Amino acid sequence: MSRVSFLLGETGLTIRQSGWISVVAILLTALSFTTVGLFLWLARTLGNAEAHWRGEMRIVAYLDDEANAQSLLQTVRGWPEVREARLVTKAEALERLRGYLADRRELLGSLPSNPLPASLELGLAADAATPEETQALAGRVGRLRGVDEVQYTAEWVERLDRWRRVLSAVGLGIGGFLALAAVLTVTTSATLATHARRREMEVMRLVGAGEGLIRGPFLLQGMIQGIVGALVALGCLAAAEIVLAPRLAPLLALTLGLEPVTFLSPLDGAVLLAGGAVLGGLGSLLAVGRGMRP
Amino acid sequence: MIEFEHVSKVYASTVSAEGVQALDDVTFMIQKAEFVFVVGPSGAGKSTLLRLLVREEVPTEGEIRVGGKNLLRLRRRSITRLRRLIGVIFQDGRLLPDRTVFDNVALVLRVRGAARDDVRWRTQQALRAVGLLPKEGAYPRALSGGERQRVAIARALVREPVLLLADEPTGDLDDESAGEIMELFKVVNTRGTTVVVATHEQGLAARMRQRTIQLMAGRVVKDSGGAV
Repeated sequence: MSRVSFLLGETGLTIRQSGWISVVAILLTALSFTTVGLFLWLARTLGNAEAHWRGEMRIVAYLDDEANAQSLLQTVRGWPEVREARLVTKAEALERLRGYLADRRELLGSLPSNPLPASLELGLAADAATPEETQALAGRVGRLRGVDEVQYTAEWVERLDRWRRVLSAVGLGIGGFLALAAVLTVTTSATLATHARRREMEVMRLVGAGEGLIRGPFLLQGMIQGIVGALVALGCLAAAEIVLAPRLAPLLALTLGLEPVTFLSPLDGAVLLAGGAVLGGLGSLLAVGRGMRP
Repeated sequence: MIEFEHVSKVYASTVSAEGVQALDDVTFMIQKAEFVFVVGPSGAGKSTLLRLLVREEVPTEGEIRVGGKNLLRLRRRSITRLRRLIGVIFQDGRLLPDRTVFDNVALVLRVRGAARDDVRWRTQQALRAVGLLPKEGAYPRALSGGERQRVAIARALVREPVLLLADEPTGDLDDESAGEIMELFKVVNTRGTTVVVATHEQGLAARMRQRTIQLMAGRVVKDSGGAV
């Protein structure tokens, strides 16, 4: 226990001696993690939207008036790619249109007859909800006798996916660059500290201190810098959530159909803190391994 | 306890391709609980001899054994264990300027994980022995050269070492203080600690009437306790 308290005391001394460079290391770590956090949030939001819309992906087959709708319905229900199939009759289609038009329903009164076709709405099985599968299935539906036209929308879901990937890559790229800068700053900080305490380390070695006790404070210094940096990043992201979430929620609900806007889960926080410790530890390890040969 | 067998040490030099010969074919043996002076003028190789004993340097040739163990073959962990048995008083004191007198001495116990009460008690005992307990809270810069040397002595003695190595321990002390320190070394020696004191003051060694190994230009020229 006394050795642990000695180690912690030495770590405190090392951090105090590092001064401003410790602060720079903490700020760079915080900047790196905040950047990664924001980009990952954006990517995750797009990912959620993509998953949401992939689940909602549909093929609509409009039938001609002579088609045997029930027979077609039974046919498509037998296909494994089809999760659900529903027949929308001409009357239902007209009723829906009335609902959409709301206070302008009187426009429909001037129609001589119901011009809307009956249709089959097909929901896709999870493994078929890709552009290729959707296109293939749409083609198959279109070849059925009695099907007049087929509509499907998959491309923009894929576009969401592409954006998500781009944002993830950009976020990880910028974050990675900043993380590298943070590691190098921690390394510089630890290197300066080892130089400042070189004489002390010599004395410690000569009085029989083990290498763990000599190098430990520098490793702990890096880890503490990383964790504090991660805590600052968590604070920034939490502040962003408090400030931005209420403003973004309506926009996201309208455009992407997403309700809650959550920046960070407790798991994200834990990963960020662990990442900080690893990042800082790595930076110190580089300095300690390089510059502290006994 | 200590065996030097044909030990030579050459330091690399930018001036000479052959380097600087600090020790040249040095052979001697020191028994357990002996009190030995290593004397010689500045540059004779006294400090190098002590640095070799704590494995701060390695010999260019020859073998050194401490407690039967060949220092060249020791692994890092064993070197640490060896150093825990040795108290060293460096010529320049090597006190840590940003730590108090108490912390400088206590460092030796703390790195070994001694309990807080034990650290306090033993550190104060050591400081009392060198007459510096009243200055336990002072920083080295506030001490005289002699006082700093006595802190270094307290640090070397606080762990009751098996082997005490002192490099010019009385260099900054007046005759009276030097005599007190030598008496302290004698007390430590009578408790079974092997004491090796390197000094340029031949008179001091003569007054103490102990075995003297005389070095000159890196060679042993006289050993009052054994054949050269």
